Amino acid sequence: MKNKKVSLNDVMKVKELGALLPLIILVIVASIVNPAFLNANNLFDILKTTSYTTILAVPLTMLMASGRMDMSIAATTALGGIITAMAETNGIPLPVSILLGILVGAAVGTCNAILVDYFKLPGFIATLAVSNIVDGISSVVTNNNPIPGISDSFKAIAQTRLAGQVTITVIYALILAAIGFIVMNRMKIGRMILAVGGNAEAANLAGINVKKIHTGLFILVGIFASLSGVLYCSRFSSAQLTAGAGTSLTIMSSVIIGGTAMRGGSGTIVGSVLGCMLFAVITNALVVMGISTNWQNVVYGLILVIALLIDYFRQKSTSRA
Amino acid sequence: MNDVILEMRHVTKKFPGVIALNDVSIDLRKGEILGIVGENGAGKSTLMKVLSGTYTSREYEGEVWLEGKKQVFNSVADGRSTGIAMIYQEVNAFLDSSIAENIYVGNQPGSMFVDYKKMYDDTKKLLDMVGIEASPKTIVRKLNSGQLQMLAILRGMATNPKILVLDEPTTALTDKEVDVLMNFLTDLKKQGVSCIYISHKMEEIYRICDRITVIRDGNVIETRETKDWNNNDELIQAMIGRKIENMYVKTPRKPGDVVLEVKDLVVPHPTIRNRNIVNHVSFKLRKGEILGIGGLVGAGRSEILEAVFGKLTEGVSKTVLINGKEVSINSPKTAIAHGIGFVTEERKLTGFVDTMSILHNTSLPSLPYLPKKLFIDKKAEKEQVMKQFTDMRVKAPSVNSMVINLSGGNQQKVILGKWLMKNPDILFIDEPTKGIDVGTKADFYKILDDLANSGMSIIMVSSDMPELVSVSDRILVMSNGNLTGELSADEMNQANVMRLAIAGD
Repeated sequence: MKNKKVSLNDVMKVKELGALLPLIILVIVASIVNPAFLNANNLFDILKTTSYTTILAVPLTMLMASGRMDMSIAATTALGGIITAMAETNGIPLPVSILLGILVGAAVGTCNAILVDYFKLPGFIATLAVSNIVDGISSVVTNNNPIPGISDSFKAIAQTRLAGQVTITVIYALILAAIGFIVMNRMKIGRMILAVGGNAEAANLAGINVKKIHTGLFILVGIFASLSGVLYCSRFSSAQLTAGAGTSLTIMSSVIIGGTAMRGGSGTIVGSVLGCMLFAVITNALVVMGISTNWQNVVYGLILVIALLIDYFRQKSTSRA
Repeated sequence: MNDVILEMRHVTKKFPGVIALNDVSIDLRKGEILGIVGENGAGKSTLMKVLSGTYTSREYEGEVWLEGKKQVFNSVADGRSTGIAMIYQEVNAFLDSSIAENIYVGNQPGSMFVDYKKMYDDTKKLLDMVGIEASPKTIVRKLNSGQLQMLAILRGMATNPKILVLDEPTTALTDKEVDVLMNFLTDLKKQGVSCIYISHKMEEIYRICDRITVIRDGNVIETRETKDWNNNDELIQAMIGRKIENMYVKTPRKPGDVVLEVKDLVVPHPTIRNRNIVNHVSFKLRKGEILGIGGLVGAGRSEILEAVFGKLTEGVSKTVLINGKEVSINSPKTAIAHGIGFVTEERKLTGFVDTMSILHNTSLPSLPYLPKKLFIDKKAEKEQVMKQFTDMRVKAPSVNSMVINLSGGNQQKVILGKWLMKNPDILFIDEPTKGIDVGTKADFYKILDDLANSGMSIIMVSSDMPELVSVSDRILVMSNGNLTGELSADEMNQANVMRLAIAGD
């Protein structure tokens, strides 16, 4: 009965396309401009960059699918690394140091949840304020100096390579993405997250504890922000204030361009990973194609605008009723 | 007829599938108070929206004539500039500004700078007129609810209107304040100001109106001089007297033991301080019965359901017994665990998740109860959803269709289906057939009847009078937060419900 012609609306409904399409185009363009783009080393480098952002994008996808956002990711990344490094360099065993870092991330997440879900403050501003506080704490505790001198086993966490090429963080990211995918698509909690993001009041009346879900996800994002700080610290052999700097917006852009709705209710882990890869490829391609890195922020900003526009049109095409 | 100040001629306003106003004509004379009465949804507020310019002249058929001139309203501002002041039931005050600033908001005296002296003097005069002993500089937050309501009326008066339209102005007023308002309106009348007075309170209508117009189902039924309406019953008859279509099914049944008992339920009013929207209400629900709750909008009916279900919790006090055992319900989650389901009134706002399909919406309340602890057993889920989907005869391409794209009736079927999938012992249902076509309505009545016969206990809130008296086994009637009466099967008729619904506090 229905004709099989694929309309623009149908195409828009494939959520991951927003990231996949430009990704393919970019890879083609970059490899034509400079065939060195396709070198194994370069591709592994892109994968490495993607892995770092993916570790944050997976929990953030869940948070955003539930209808919340978090602008404090970058700050928590820095502080998580700093606390872990300070503990470790002061003789505390590595696992305990990491646990301390995780606790700091969980505390930041709890603060966000209290402000946004109990005091009903607007999420963007509230988490941005928390971000400032966390940044400030990092400055205070380090006096703006990096913290070097971490142990070799700490360095091994992110620097280990498998088969000589693949950085271990890629494996971490893959495992996390797989878990995220299962949670969102197969588990009851994933369905509940989507329901809360789609219509919090209807979800509440269906017996879902909305505040608990939001709080849990804020804490989860905080914990993974901290863990990514641990990874950065391990990768650069020292904790730095600038670890993760500027990533809050780019990771959020990756998630949105990957097909997660700004207002919640939909979220795709695969799309978010593609979004992260898109950003990694752009950054890399700019270098490979010989374009000044000064253009980076311009391009990042443009991508966020495009992601928001795609989100806007997608909302419009689905909410006709 | 040259003393007619306002005429609405042959006004027809249609919404998709519904005619809200059907060839309505009314006229208002200079220095007259015209009462407009009718059931919920009769078309009163639509009529006022036409008059205020909320619906622009292009959005309806018919004409509005003011002092012999045809009016074209393109906005609310147009309506206001012609000298019609609308005073609504809800008070929208700037709580942290002064009384004077609230009265003259958007209308301050003076050209570029505000002439504060004139503003305060004029405010003082207005306050004296209604006997409020407060300084014009008083911050509005300090006023009580009655004074706030008066403030809204004064705000209308400050524009020196020729016509004052009041929509249920006394819901927040005490008897004494009502007296002040009545005297105030009578004075205005002597000054030549005309007034349209909409109210459910018959005593007030009788007391101050010169003529009374009855509206029902979008039609003007009759307008008579107040003295020519013989009594309350005649008015009520005119308000409700529609034909009862034969679409109701009720098989005789014998309700069993008490399954739910609510004792001394108190829910504070959401906006008016020191008032309860549900005021010490107690009732019992028996196994396999449909208990109807009637009353006017705002009487506290929905709030009873919301409070028992754990949706409303702030300031609520209640004792709830299920099968004779006291239970503590502090969230919808616990209510569901105790075997209660709740089909809410506002489908789009609270009934379903608009980003989800029929499948996912239907299984939502049952998710924790599906087999397996953490994972979704998709086969079991689909099987159970399909059962509801077919039983309810939902008209949709498949269970993967989005609920938002369905018609209102089919959305309602999905919502009912999602609760039935959880298989509750007790079902709350608020305005079950609001905005639903006649055919689907009949389906619903059949389903509700079957459910009650199978032993489910149902509480149904309804503003649809024929529905309420035809579907219920027993009816509780609320008025202003109080339970004003209970009607057993042989006492249930629309006149009795209306009488209790407008009974004073």
